Amino acid sequence: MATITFEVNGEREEVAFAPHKTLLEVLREDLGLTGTKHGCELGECGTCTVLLDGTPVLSCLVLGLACAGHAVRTVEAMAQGGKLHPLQETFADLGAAQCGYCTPAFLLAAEALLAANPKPTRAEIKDALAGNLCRCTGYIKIYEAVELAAARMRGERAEPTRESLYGR
Amino acid sequence: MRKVDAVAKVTGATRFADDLAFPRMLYCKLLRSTQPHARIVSIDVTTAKQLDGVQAVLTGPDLPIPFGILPVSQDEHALCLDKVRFIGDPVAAVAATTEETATAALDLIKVVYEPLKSFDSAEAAVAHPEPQIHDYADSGNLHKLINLEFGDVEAGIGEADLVREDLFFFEGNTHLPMEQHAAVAMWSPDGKLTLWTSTQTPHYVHRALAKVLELPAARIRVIATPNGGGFGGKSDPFSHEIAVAKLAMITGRPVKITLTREEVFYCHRGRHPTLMWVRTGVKRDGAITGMHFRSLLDGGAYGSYGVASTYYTGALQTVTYNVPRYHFQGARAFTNKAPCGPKRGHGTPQPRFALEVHLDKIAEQLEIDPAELRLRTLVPPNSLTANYLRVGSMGLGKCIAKVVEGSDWKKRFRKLPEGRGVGLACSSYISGAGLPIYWNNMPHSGVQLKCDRGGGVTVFCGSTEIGQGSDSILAYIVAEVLGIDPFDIAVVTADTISPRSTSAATRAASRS
Repeated sequence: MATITFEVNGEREEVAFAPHKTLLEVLREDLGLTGTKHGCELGECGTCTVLLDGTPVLSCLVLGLACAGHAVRTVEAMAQGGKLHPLQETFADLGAAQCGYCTPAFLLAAEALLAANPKPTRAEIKDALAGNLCRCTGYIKIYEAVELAAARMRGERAEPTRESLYGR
Repeated sequence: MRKVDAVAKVTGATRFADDLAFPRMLYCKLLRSTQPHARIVSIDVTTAKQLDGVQAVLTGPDLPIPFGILPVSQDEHALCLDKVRFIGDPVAAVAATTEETATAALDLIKVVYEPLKSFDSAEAAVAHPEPQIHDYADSGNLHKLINLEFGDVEAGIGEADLVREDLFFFEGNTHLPMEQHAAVAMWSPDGKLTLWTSTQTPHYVHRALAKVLELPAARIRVIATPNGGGFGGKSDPFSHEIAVAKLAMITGRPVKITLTREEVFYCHRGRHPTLMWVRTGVKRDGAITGMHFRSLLDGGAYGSYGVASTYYTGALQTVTYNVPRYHFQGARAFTNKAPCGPKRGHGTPQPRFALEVHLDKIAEQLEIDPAELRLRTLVPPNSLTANYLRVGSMGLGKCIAKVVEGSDWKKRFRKLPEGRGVGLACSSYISGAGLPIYWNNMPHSGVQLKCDRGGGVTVFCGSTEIGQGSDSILAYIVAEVLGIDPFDIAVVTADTISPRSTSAATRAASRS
């Protein structure tokens, strides 16, 4: 058994696990944080994305042991005080989550993007989310949700466009 | 409007099958065939059973009753009985206290195979009727043969000014939902079984469990967990669902299985690779006088929905363009590959690709604009096609006109620089099924409402939420009729204790 201390969603956690376990397994199985999903466990699909010290990582490729002393952020920390994060609001309102399986990973990747670049272009959003696969939405709704949340996080009074709600 | 499950999905609160865990839960792994086609000479599980932490090991004879999604194709066993039919066919199941132990136990199982000649394409299966992959096939290794003629097609083609013949091949593909299939079974000492599973069709899984486990259906509850994408790939009852149920019954403990991404490809049930031949007669103005369409489907190792898929490759050619006389011949081959089945559009995207390209070629020969050719040959509204499909309203003409206008078609078709082009294709699909899989006179689906004294309303329905929004639609409809807020409504679906859509597929090959 390996024992590490690290920060998970702003709280100090001490956790013991078999040393071969990935961060994905430690989060889901040892800490009960099942909001982080697995899609391939081969580093191909991005579904297991979490933030490690603010940077998106594929938690299926990171050993739990390597996280000692670091800070991990999962989807469970995004809504605060019973209120959704602006990205969660727009993903819900614009239909950017269909089956919802890839959604936590997209949210975290988008959050990291907006922290570094509060006003990304569509191309920059596409680039930042290129490592995350979604099979339901076709990505357009996801890009629109990120753009709308970004505007609101900049303090603009942005509303969804008619096109993104009703189509062309 | 927000979907009723949107907040759960964006907060990570939605519980998918693999997110479930119970005290004393065991983990199941399946040993899969390394051979494409072979007789099983022997399976030795003695050492595997002795491994510390292993609680039970199953092989074919523990689950000898066959099952399958269609009544005419009950050709699968939870674990192969006497032979394996593709690389990945499950031959043994282990339940152990950890996933690592279950995986280690698989390596201790010794299987002796006697290889048989295997077939990797429909053409190979046609060429070699022996050895048969299944003995119930219509002919040799041809699972299903269909021949339907509506009107005298040769006479129709004889009246044509131009007869064109083409051959097309559509490569197969797979669904790839982001969520791997997973299931958890729990057995209670009062003889009741509960299965939570990532399925689009809980009611069919229910049927298969009752049959294979020889349990009264009333003692089994199947709960379809929200699907992390399905696209048709989670519409069959699967070996892993039956194996965990049996293991839970034997051990008296909850048993869970989560397939690896590799195993999802073995479940497959993807779109059939299809070879298509089409011969059509047309008048100089583009009017179709007759069409003869043949399809050869590579079905893989089992029946699955394949009989339906085969009919689908011939059913809808007549519903967009007026085909007054129509002849369809279909054949589905068994091959030693992961089984094909329903995937979005179920058997119709392949012939649609063939038909649309074929029409473009005809338009080219007749020197008619392909958009114009389609507009001239549209099926009229409120009509019956040659193969007896009822067409109600017909908006395809308006749709083509809008596309022609919006794409600036007239200025761009055949006028773009080398290497660039603009094209147009149409498609259509049926709404509702004429007959359910298990024929009966009951409604295809039903909804029950529970209204409580506090003003709360609960909707119960057999449909499965796979991301397409069916739970939300149920809430919206009820809210509109009752004049209440959809978010005041609780929706309970995809649970076999709620009203059964016993007949129609719950969500086959659907949007998500």
